[in-house]
Amino acid sequence: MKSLVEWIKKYGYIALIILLAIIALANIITRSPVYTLLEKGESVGSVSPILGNGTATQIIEGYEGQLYGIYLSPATHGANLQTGVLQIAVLDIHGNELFSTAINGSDIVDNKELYIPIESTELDNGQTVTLQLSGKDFDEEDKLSFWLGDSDLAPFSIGEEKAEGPILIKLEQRVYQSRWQRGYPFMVLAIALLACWPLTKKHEENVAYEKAT
Amino acid sequence: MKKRPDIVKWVVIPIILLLLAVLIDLVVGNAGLLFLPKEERGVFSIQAEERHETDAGGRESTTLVLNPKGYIHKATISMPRAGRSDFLQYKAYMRKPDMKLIFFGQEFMPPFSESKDTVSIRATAEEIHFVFEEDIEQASITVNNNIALNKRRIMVWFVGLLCGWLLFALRKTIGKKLEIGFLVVACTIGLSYAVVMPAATYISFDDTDHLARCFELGYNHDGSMEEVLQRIRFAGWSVTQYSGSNGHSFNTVEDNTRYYQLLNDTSLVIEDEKPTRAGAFYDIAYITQALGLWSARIMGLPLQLQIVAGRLGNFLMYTLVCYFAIKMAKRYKAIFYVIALGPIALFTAGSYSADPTVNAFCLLGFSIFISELLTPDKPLMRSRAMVMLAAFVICAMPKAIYGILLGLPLLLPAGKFESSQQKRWFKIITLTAMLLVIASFALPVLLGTSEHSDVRIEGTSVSGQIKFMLSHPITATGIFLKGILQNSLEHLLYMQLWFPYLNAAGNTLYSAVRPAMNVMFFVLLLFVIFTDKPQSDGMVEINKRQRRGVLALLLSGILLVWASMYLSYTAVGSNVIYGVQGRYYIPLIPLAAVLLNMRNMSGGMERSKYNLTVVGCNAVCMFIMLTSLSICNFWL
Repeated sequence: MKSLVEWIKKYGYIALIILLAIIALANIITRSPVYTLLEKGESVGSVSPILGNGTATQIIEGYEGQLYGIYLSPATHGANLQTGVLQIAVLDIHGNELFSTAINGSDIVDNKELYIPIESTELDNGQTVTLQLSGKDFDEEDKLSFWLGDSDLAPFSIGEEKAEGPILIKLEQRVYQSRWQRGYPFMVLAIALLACWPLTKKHEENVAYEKAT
Repeated sequence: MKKRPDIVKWVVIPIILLLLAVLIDLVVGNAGLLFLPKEERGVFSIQAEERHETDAGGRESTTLVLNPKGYIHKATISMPRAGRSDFLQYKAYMRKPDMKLIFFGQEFMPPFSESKDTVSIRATAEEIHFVFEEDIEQASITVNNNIALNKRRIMVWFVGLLCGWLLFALRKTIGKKLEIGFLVVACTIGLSYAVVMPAATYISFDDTDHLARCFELGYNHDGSMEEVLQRIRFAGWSVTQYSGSNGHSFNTVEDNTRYYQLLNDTSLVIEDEKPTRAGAFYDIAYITQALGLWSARIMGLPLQLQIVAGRLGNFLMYTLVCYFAIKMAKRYKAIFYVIALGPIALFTAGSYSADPTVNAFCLLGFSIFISELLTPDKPLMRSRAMVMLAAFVICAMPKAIYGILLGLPLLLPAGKFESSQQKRWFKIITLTAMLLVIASFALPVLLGTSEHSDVRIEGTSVSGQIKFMLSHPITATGIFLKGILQNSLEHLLYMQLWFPYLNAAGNTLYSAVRPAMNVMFFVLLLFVIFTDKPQSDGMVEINKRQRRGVLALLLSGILLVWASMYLSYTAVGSNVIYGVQGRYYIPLIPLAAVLLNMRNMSGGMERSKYNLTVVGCNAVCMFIMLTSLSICNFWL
C-alpha cells in the first residue's frame, strides 16, 4: 500500500496525462457505427394511404451507410387493427425483393412503436431502393392508413384527433462516424494538466507558508 | 454514559420530527376531513346531471353538474375515451353557499380507453360544474372523503423540520465551518427536489432532452429510447400543449399514481448488438446522471425509480463538488455558499440538467483560483493547479462559452511560480487549453458548419445570423447593447426557482411566494457579496491589474452568453435577442463578486453569527420555495 502511494506520488501525474491522451486518441481515431433515422425530406415519394387492402410504395435514394431498420409508429388506436397482415418489403431498382417481413395487425397496438430490423446485407452503399407496404385482409371498416417518410406527425401523437390515425414510417440507417467529439474533451483536459508540469510538488513550502501567516 | 445525548440528538429527535411531519400532513392535507361526520366519509359514487349544449358556431360542450350534500375532498371523473390520443381539457367551477360560481381549476382527462382524472375540491359547495368543450357521455363521478397520508408531502415537511433541527444542533460547527451548513441544507431540502419531484419531464429546463441524452449514455445507445421517452413525456405533453391555462394533467396524487403505472409498465428492449453514440462534448455533464439510471436499472428498479436515481446521481455530484469548493475556499465562502444553494442552482441539481456540472466545477475552480490569487507569495502547487484547471475544463465542456474562465489562472502573479520559465509554460499551455475549449463552439460557427441553431425557433440559422451581423454591424451592436443593458438586472433578479413549464399552475400560494422569495434570495446574494470578509489574515487584496483582468473576463463571459443565444436561439434579423436566462449568469457571479467585494465594506458581525445568519436565511427561502412549488403543483 505504501509503495502504491509512493508510486502514485512519483508517477501519478504523468500516468494520468498519458491515460487521458490514450483515451482521447483512441476515441479520435476510432470509427463506430451510429444509427440515425432518415429525417423528413431525405427520402422521396408521395403520401400514400392504404384503405382496407392496398399497397403503398416509396422510393428511397441516396441514403448514407446501410438501411438498418424500420420503425412503425401507429398513432391510431389498436382496436382498429386487430385483423389483417401488414407486409413490408424492400425492393431493389429492378423490383427484386431484398428483404421482406410481415406483421399481424394485432401487433400494431396503441401508440407503440414497432421496430423491424432489416436483415439483409444487400442494402449497403446508398443504392436506390423501394420500400413497399401492403395491407392484406384488413376489414373494410379498419381503414388502416399510413404515411411514408415525410409525414409531419410525431410518432406518439397526443393531441391528434384522428379516428383512423396514421402509421409513421421511419427508416433507420447505419453509418460509421469518428468518435472525435468524445475524445476531444480528454485531449483538452490532458493539455490543461500538462500546464502543471513544471509546478512545485513540494508540500513543505506551503506548510511553512501557512505557519508563517 | 456519554453516548446517550447523541442517541437523543441524532435518533430520537429525528424520529419525533418524522412523527410531527406525519401529524402536520394529517392536519394540513386532510383539514376538511378531520371533523367530518362519519356518514359523509368513505368512497362513494355521486350522480351528476349532464347538460349538453351547442353554441351558435356549432361547437358542442358538456357540463357535469354536481349537487353535493356535504363536503367533498376529492372527486374522480371516469369516462370511456377509446380511440383518443389527446388530453381532454376541462374546467372546474364551484358555488359555495350564498356565493357566485367561481373557477377553481383547469383539469385534463388523459387519453386512455377507461380514462380517469382526479380533482382536488376540499370544500363544501352547493354546486360543482365540470365543463368539457366537447360532447361527452357515460361519465361517472366517485367522491373520495377518506383521510389519507401522502408520503411525498410528509417528506417535504420532514426535511424542513430536520433541516431546522440539524442547523440548530450543529450551530457551533456551522459557525466555524460553513461547508457543514451547506451539507445540511443541500442534503435535506436540496435532496427533496431530486426525490419528491414527479418522475416526469417538463419539470426543469429542457429536461426531456437532457433525460434522453442520459438514457442514451446509460445504454450507450441512441436508437431505441423513443418508446420510453414518449411515455415519460406523456404527462408533460399536456403541460406544453396547454401552457398558460392554469393547470396540468397530474396535479393530484391519484393522477401521479396512474401516470406511474403507465410509466412502470413500459418495457425497454435494447438490442445489444447495436452499441452506438458517436459521443459529444457535453456528455461529461451526464455521466453521473447516466450512472444513476444505469445502477437503478441493473438493480431491477421500476422506471419511475430509475428516473429518480438519475436525478440523485446529478445531485450527489453537485453536492460533493460544491462541498469541496466551499471547504477549500480561503475567501468568499459565504458567497460560494449562496451561489451553490441558490434556488435555481439547487433545483437544477436535482433535475436532469447539464447546469449542475457547469456551476459546481466553476465554483471549485474559482475557489482554488481565488485562494491562490490572494496569497501571491505562496508557491502554486501542482496538485492544486491540476484540480483548478481540470475543474475549469469540465465546467466548460457542456457549455463551451465558459471556457473563458480558463483565462482566470492567467492572472496569477509571478510570485506563484519558481521561475519565469515555469510561469511562461503554465500560462501558454493554459491559454492553449482555453482556446481549444472555445474553439469547440466558435470554430464551427466561424467555419459555417455549426448545427447548433435551435429547431424549436423558426428562422434561426447560425450562418445566417453571422451574415446579418457582418452586413449590419451597427444594428447588431445596438441589439447586443440594448439586450444586455435592458435585461441583465431582470435576469439577475429572476434567478429564482421556477418550473419553466408549470409556472402557470395557478396556485395562489406559489404566485404570492415566488416574488418575495425572489427578492429575498437576491438581497441575500448582494448581502454576502458586499459583506463576506476574509477569514484569515494571510491574504492580500486583488490588485488593479488583476481587477481589470477579471472585469474583462466577466464582460467577455456576458457577451458570449448573449452571442450564443443570438446565434442559435434568435431568428435571423430579429431586433431582440431571445433565450438568455438568469441561470446562465451563475458561473459568472463569482467574477462579479470579486469586483464588488471589498475588505473595507465588511460588516462588524462575528463570523459564527454571520455564517448562521446566511445559512438560516437561505434555508428558510429554500424551504418555502420547495413547499409552495411541490405541494401546490403536484400533491394536492
